Amino acid sequence: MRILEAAGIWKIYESGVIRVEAVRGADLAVEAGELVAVMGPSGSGKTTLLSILGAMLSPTRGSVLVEGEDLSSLDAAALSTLRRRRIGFVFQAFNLFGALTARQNVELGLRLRGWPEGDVGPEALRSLESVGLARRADFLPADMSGGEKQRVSIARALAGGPRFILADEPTGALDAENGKAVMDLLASRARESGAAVIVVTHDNRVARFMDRVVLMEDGRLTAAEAGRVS
Amino acid sequence: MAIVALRNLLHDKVRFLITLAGITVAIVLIFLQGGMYLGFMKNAAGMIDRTDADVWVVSRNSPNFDWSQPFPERYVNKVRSTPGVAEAKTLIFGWAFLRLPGGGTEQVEVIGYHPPAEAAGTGGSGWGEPSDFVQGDSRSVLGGDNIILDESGSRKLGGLLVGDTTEITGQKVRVAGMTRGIRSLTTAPYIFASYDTAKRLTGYLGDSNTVFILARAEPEISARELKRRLAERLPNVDVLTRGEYSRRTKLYWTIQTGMGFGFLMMTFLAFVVGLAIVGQTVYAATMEHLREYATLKALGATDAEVRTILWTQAAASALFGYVFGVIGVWWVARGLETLGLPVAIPGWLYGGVFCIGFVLCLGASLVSVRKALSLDPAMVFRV
Repeated sequence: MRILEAAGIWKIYESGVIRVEAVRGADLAVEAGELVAVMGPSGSGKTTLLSILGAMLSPTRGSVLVEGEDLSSLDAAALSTLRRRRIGFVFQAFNLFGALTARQNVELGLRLRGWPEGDVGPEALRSLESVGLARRADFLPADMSGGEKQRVSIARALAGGPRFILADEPTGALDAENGKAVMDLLASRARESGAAVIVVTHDNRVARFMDRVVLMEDGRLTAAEAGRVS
Repeated sequence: MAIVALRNLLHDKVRFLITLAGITVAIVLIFLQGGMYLGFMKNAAGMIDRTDADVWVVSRNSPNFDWSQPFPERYVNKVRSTPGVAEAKTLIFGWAFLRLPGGGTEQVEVIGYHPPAEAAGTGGSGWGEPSDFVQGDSRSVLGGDNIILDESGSRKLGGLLVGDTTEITGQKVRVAGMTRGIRSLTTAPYIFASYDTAKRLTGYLGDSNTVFILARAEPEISARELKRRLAERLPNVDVLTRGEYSRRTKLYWTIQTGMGFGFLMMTFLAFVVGLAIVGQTVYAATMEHLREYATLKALGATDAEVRTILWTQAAASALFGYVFGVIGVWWVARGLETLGLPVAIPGWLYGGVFCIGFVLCLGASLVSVRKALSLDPAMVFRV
C-alpha cells in the first residue's frame, strides 16, 4: 500500500530579484513499511522536501498525497490533524520538552494523537520499554545522554502507531556508536509497527539500515540503491 | 496541555519568582489604591451611612457632610408635621478649636446629637450619635460639658483620655467616652457632644439654627415618597434620601477635589507596571521556549492548544500572584491603619482585583500568544 506519493514537487523562494529553487521537480513514492533515506549535502533541499512531506510547507508546484489524500486540498486545521494522527517526527536536536520527563514527553505525543486519557500512561511506558528506556521514564531530558534523548524522541514518534515517520538527521547530534544504535532501533521498531520511514541525512552510515536510498542534489532527487552510497 | 503549561511555568523557578513578584506588587498596589479610596469614602460619608434616617434635610447645595451650613431650626416642626414622618431629630455640626494638653490648638469637627433615652452601647447610631465605644456610651455626653472622642482623634489631640479636661473655643470640656473607628475625611477629628453643648462649643451657628434634620418614614412610606413630601414643604433647603446624600458627599470628594482621579491614576499605573513586568517575563519565557512551541505545532497541536498553554500559564501566574497579593495587602493595610490611613477592602473588591489580575496576566500574554501562533512549524528542522 502506498503511504506517500510526491509528484513534480517544486519549491521556489522569491525575494525581490533573488530567486531560489530549493526543490526542483522531486518525485518520491513510499510504500507502507518501507524505509527510505534521502541523502545529500547541506543546502541540497533535503530539509525543504522534508517540510513539504511533513505537511508543514506547501510546494510551489506539484502534489503530495498521503494515503491518497491530496495535501493541497486540506486547510491548516486539517493539516494539523493529519500531522498529529498519521506522522511521527524525529528531530536532529531531539526537540523534547525540557520541563517534562521522558514519560511525559511521550504522553504528550499520545494526547496530541487523541488517545483516551486512561490509555496514555500505559502506552507511553510501553513505547519507552520498546526503546529500552522504561527505567529512565521519570528522568528529565537534561539528565539524559544524547543517545537516550533520541531514543525518547523515537518512542514519542512511534507511540500511537503513526503511518509514517519523518526523521531529520536522527544521528546528527550523536557519536558513531550512539548513531548506529539509534538507527538500529528506529529501523527495527518501524519494521515491527509497519510504519514507513523517511530519513533525511547526510550520514552515509544510515544507508545500510534503509530499504532504499535516494540522492538529492541541487533540489533534484535521483535514485540510488541501498548500501551503495559512498 | 495544562501539564506542559504548568511544568514550563515552574521549571525556571527564578523567572517564575520574578513574574510572581511583579504580579504580587501590582495586585498589592491595586488593592491598596482601591482599599484606600474606599476607606476615605467610608469616612467621608460615615456619619451619614451610620444613621438609620430615611431622609436628610440639609442646607441648600450642601456639597457634603463636612461643608454643611446652618438653617432655621424651626423647620424641624414642619418636618414632624408632614404626613408620613414617624420621627425627626436635629443634628448639629460645626468647626471649633480644641486646646491641646501640651499647648497649642487643633481644629475639630463638633457633632451635637440628642442622647437617646437608653445607652446605645456598641450598637447602631440611629440619629447621629457615636457607636463602637471603647469606654462610655452614647449617654456619656449628658451632664453639660462632656464630650466623646475617637481613639484615632485622641492621638492627634495630644493623647487625651477619658477623664481628661481641656477647652474647646475657650470653654471647658471633659472627655467622658471613647469610640473606635469613627474618623472624618478631613484631618480634623470628630468630637461628639450633646446637642446644646455642641451649639455652644461651635458658637457661630446661632441659637435658632440647626445643621441637619434627620427623619424616619412611617413603615408604609418609602424614603423617596417622604423626600418628595418634605421637599414640597421645605423649598429653601435640600431634602435627600440617606443614599443620595451619601453619594453626593462621596462624589464631591471624588470629583471636586481630584481625589478620585488621583486614585484612578495610581491604580492605572499599578496596572501598567504589573502589565509591563509580567509581559516582559512571560515574553522572555516564551522566546526561550519558541522551539518547543514550534515542535508542538509540528506535532500537530492546534492554535487553540498553543493558546491554552500560554493562557494557562498566565492564569496560574495570576492566581499565585493574587494569593500572595492578598496576603501582602493584609499586612500592608494593617500597617497603614496604625498610621491612621483608612483601608477598606469589602468582599467585592477581592473579586474585582482578582478579575483585574486575570485581565492583567492575560493581557501580558497576548504578545507571547501572537508570537507563538506565528511560528513556522518547519523551524523544527533548523538546528
